Amino acid sequence: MHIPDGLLSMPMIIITYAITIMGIVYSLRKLKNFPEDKIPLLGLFAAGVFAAQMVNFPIIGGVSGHLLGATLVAILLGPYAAILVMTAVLIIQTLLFGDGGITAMGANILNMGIVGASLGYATYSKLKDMNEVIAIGFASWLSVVVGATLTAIEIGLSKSLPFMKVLTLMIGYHVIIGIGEAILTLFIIKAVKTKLPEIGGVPA
Amino acid sequence: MRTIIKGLIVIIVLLAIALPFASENPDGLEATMEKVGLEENPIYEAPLDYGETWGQSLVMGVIGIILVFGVSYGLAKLTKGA
Repeated sequence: MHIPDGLLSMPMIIITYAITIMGIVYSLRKLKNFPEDKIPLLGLFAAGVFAAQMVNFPIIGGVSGHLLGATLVAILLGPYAAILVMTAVLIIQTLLFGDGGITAMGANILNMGIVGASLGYATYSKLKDMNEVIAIGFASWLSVVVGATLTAIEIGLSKSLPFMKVLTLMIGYHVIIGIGEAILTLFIIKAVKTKLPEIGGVPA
Repeated sequence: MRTIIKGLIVIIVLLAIALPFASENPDGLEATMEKVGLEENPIYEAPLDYGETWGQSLVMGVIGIILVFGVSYGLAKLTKGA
């Protein structure tokens, strides 16, 4: 879901970069209270998200998707840590591996990082007392669908094209890709909590 | 520190196992772009790629994993110092 160069208009590039930079600055301020001893773990999750995003899983119709991971990291390390993690992943992907355009990096961090970290985490927090599994699954699924919707809107407002078609296709694909996100997120959180019980409760 | 080294090794081993199963199909956005005739217009040439063979992809993966670990660790440390 990395937007390449050439798809966003100049105003959209400026708006998405501005929102993303504000989000990152805010998160970095909030992270002053992040426990020092959990910083290596934060790095480990960033490395894991990068690796996971290299492995696309197939869905129907010759299309594939990959884990976003923002909601996953937000649930384990808090939303601000997740925004930092996704920013680091996207910077390396964009600047060194050519995933997504340099003009679209603000939008990509917003759609795949900030949305999942904030909305995904808020959704999880609201639902977790009801049922942990449903909370994790629904929050991570929703983060993909909303991220895809936002991606479609950003591209749709930038270009003259059949807007509803772009929106419908993007949502249609990502409703399914989101199921993969939910399954992987549930599986990884369970594995991490089993293998690393010290991760425990993390302050938001 | 032991946990982190172990974690990085686990990530690399899982990547090595999963890579042959990775789908080459276009992702949701690429498929959408094809259907509505949108084309990318690169303005920046990234120095690396993910390689073609399993071995190349794994090497690139390890490079990326280490760099992402370093950047995120560094950023997080900076927030403490600043």
